[in-house]
Amino acid sequence: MRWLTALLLWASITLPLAAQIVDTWAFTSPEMQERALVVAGQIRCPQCQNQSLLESNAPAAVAMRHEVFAMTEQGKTQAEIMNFMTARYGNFVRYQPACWCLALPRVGMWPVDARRLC
Amino acid sequence: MLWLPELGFIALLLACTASLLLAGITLLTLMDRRWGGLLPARGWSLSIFVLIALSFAILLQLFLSNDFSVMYVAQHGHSQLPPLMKAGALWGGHEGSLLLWLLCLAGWSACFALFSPKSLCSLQPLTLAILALIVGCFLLFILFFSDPFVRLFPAALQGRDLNPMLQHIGLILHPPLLYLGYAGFATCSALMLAALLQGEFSAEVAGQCLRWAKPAWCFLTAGIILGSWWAYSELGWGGWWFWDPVENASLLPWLTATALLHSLAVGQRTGGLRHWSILLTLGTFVLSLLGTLIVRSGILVSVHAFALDEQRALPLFILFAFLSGSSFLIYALRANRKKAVTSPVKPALLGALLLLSSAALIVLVGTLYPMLYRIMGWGQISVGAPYFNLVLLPFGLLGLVLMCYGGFRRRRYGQWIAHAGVLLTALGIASSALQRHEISLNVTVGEAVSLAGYQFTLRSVDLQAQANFTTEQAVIEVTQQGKPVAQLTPERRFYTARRQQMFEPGIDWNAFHDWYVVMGEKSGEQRYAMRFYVQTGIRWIWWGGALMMFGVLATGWQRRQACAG
Repeated sequence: MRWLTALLLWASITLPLAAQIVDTWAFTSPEMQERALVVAGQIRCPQCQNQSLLESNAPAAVAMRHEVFAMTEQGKTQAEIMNFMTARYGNFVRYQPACWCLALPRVGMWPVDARRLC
Repeated sequence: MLWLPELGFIALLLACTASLLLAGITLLTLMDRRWGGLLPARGWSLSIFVLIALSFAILLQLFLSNDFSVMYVAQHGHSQLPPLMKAGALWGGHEGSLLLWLLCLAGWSACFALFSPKSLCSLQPLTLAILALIVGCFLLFILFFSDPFVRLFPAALQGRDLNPMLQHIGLILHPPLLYLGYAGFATCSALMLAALLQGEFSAEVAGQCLRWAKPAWCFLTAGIILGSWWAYSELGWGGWWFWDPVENASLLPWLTATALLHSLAVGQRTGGLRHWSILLTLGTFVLSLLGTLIVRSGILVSVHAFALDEQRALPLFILFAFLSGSSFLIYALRANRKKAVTSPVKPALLGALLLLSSAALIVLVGTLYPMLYRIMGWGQISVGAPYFNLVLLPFGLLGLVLMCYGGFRRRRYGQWIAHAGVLLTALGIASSALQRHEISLNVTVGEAVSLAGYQFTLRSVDLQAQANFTTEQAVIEVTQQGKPVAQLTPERRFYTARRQQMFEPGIDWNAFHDWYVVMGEKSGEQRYAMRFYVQTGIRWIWWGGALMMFGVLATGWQRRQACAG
């Protein structure tokens, strides 16, 4: 297994350098591409000012983007991927706050429960 | 001219003194009649404008003559910049863009001094005084915290160049148009405040306010459209709106201003919707201040971080709080003195007002919520495109239904054109969201890529040198079933002054489709990573906006024509 670890490590170092402004990740099908791009467009790059994983060329964004693409190809749902990314990188990366449906009624009572909701 | 920057600074000092004097003495007249007539407001407003225009022209001249002994010019100018871009560089940073804002405001107040009708004679001096107060406050801020004429010693040998991302015709036109819109609404709200202070809101005041609000709304719309077009043709993501806080800051006053046009149209006929009109005018003004000030203070995290500075955040916030607080205070103290005119208002129109203002409220909350969250120490969250799209969708749909029901009834062609423009924009938004094809591949010269029924063939890649950058330009031929339909020339530019690489997408379009290519890294001999898009209806969004502007202007023209006849 050690060679696999080494390969992954090598990939994680070289991939961000190889893929920058145009990401030529080969998707297995157009539907898969569609799904993966939708998910990646909803996650914020933690390293940039205000850009989604799709719009950013920062190394962190490229790595996270590929993580999302790989998980989509494995057949994970959008919710699963979002939960994984939030657990790993924090609420900050979520462009749609976890409680969007509550966001409107919540406005009036944010001092009370904002901490618990998000 | 050796002392030009100092001359500009002195002009600003004089303008500041003059505007504060004018504001102070006219406001004193309100309390004590003896002060009246000491300063003729018209002449003073015009001279304030001339002074500010002089300092603006001086700054422009400094950019054109590459005077790098001035800090601001050294930071944003470069001797190799084309002259048009030098003008754009003037408002590419914090100090210059505030000066531009001020010039627009002084320009509007000069226009108001020259062109306001006889029937407004009693309100004119007070309106000009309120405008002078706003100008004076801004000038105080500029003189103390954001002076564009600060010298650099020893002088720089070369400027740091304008951010390459901003070197685009869109940048040259986008900020002036936005600021002209913002300043126009400042004029409307000064008129409204003067009416509140001196007498009452009447159909006459509403009509005058509408007369000034229409061109302001058109400028704001044109500014937003240009900003969107610029983002589309510069950023390389094929998107036209990113829900960035700074974009939201320009959308907010647009939403309330659109509601304002509707409520003032009722107001000028019947004198009704008094509170709606006053509050929407003041709200639009406050939101435009928010657009210029809070965004520039760096409190909001945004990709538009060209012109911010944390040190100026507090004075900017005080300026914002003073101006918006005092205008709402005047409303609170004066608005209820007379019994409101109650006149029947069409439910569809009332619905439109409610929808537009609640959409504005949602965008406002969504934009400021992350900031609030951080200030409260609850951690960091993000509110972005998925949230806004989802929450605003029902508002948009409901608004369209209401507009189709109520907006096409009268036989007024201005109204018809404007509402048809909204429909075209909505159609463009829907089709560009639903009909979007994209693919990213490595392409060798001579190779063809097919996407959505079109063949993209990479013909050649050429090297070129321009004034301030070198570029690799690809030529891509787009064909459909063998017939050529378009030619795209995406570029990879290297700007030598900032040693920065930029990717210029290649775009071509017909009435329905847009073909869009981004050329990325070189991945081998004659081989490049490229991203292709085929989109439908992007242009309709902007054309719809242009129709809206045309319609709004046509209503004004039609009215004047009717009055004359």
